[in-house]
Amino acid sequence: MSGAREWPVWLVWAILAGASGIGFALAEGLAPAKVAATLAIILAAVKIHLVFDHYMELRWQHRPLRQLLAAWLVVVTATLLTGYWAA
Amino acid sequence: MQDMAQTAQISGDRNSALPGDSGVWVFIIADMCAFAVFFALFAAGRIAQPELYEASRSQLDLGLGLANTLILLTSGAFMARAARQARTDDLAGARFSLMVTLAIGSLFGVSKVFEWSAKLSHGITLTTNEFFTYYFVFTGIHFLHFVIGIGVLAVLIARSKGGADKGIDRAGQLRWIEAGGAYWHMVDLLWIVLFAMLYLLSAA
Amino acid sequence: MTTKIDTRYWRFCLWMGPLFVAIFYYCWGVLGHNFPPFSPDAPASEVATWFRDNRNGVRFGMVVAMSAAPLYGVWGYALAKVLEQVGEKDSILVQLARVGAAWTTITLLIPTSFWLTAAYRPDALPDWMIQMLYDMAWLLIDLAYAVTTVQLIALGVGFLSDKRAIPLIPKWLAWYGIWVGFMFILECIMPYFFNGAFARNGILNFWIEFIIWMVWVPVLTYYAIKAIKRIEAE
Repeated sequence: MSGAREWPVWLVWAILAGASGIGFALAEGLAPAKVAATLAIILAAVKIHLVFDHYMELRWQHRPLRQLLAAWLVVVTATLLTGYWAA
Repeated sequence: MQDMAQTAQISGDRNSALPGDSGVWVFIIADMCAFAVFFALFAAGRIAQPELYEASRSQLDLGLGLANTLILLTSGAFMARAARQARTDDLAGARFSLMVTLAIGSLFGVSKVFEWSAKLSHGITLTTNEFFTYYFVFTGIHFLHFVIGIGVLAVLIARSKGGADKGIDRAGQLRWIEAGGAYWHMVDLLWIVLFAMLYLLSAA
Repeated sequence: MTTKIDTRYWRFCLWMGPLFVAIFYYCWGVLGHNFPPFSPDAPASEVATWFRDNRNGVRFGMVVAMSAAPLYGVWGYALAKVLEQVGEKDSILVQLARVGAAWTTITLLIPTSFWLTAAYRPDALPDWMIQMLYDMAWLLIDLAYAVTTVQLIALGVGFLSDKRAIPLIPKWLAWYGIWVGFMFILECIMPYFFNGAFARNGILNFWIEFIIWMVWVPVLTYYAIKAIKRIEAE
């Protein structure tokens, strides 16, 4: 096992929770609506990437699966951004 | 996929193996694709009626949305911990982590019931408008996944009972903890999208 | 196994699954205007006029669809025979896989008889009554999803318990079936909608739900037929 690349769970959790808090604070009026919404989508994508890598532990695993999930994330993020900006 | 997992087991090459039972990933990916369709429907609906979506969104309780997110993320952290403990043969520790995962995760159910009943008592239902249709259906289906996840966690805890026994099938235990974990993390990550999409996309 | 398993009719019975899908698609779907269905929003007069103009096509379609419905059961029983080779003979999962297939046959027979009724004497029936028969048939065929879910999950869980190094039915396919059975639950919200994704003709409640099931049948058939060869070799 490549221990060097294994992040402590609490660190992953802290980043995820912090990102959630920032997304929330931005939406509550800390930033202009368009900035807040765009950042919320990007933060969600970052969080999901972290979940893939450090919760699901996929970072040193099966490449095709990782690529498939990465593709899913790109599609979903693009969908949300389009849904917001094309409205 | 099956063949690849077997080759990996034989050669001991961790890089090509999937965590958990390889077949469960088919369920997870199929499910994530179904949710991707949900998200696309929502995006298309929002483009067509941005004012309606914004007016409806502003009726949601962002604080509860954040609380739900934090609950699932914290529960997920203990799930990840359980998998790491199982991998280092600490089955007793893994069992305890699974219990914490379940205990914290259950709070999501409580908060969701609270949130929905508040909406219903304000006369907001499945058929109020398109936004709330999607809100109730998507969070409802997600909730169903959550309930199944709680069941899976309970089974994992029950199965790990004999952790101290000598003849225990450690590889089998690890495989099921990893498979259950992958599912539980999916519940988590789908909520991350739902939280951003339903609660946080405020219009100017 | 000490005694050789008699697999004589298994392949024939398994072929009935894809055959059923093909016949049902054409007779129930195309001839019966059910693939895709009329929108729930469509006025009663539109549905009624279509039934009056196409009565003979609908009659033929539903008669053949009803005659072909038991093929689904035949297929399901053959799958249960393959499942018997995975675990214990006549286990609860084998029985549920059988009864799920048998129940599904019934939930195909009854609604097709409603569509047939609408086409039997459409001139004598008021528009709203033809619409009601059409609605009733759709509500039944969709909301009877749970009996098919019994079959899907019993087969899925059963095939997952295969202890062979290479299972008779691949695990991904077993999981796919479980997922399909689970996804059917979306039908529960169909009665609340008259348009959009969750209506009976919507992207989710029609297109995705029917297609994932119709794909499952031939794919599982293919692997089950391959499995018979291995069962015979064992």
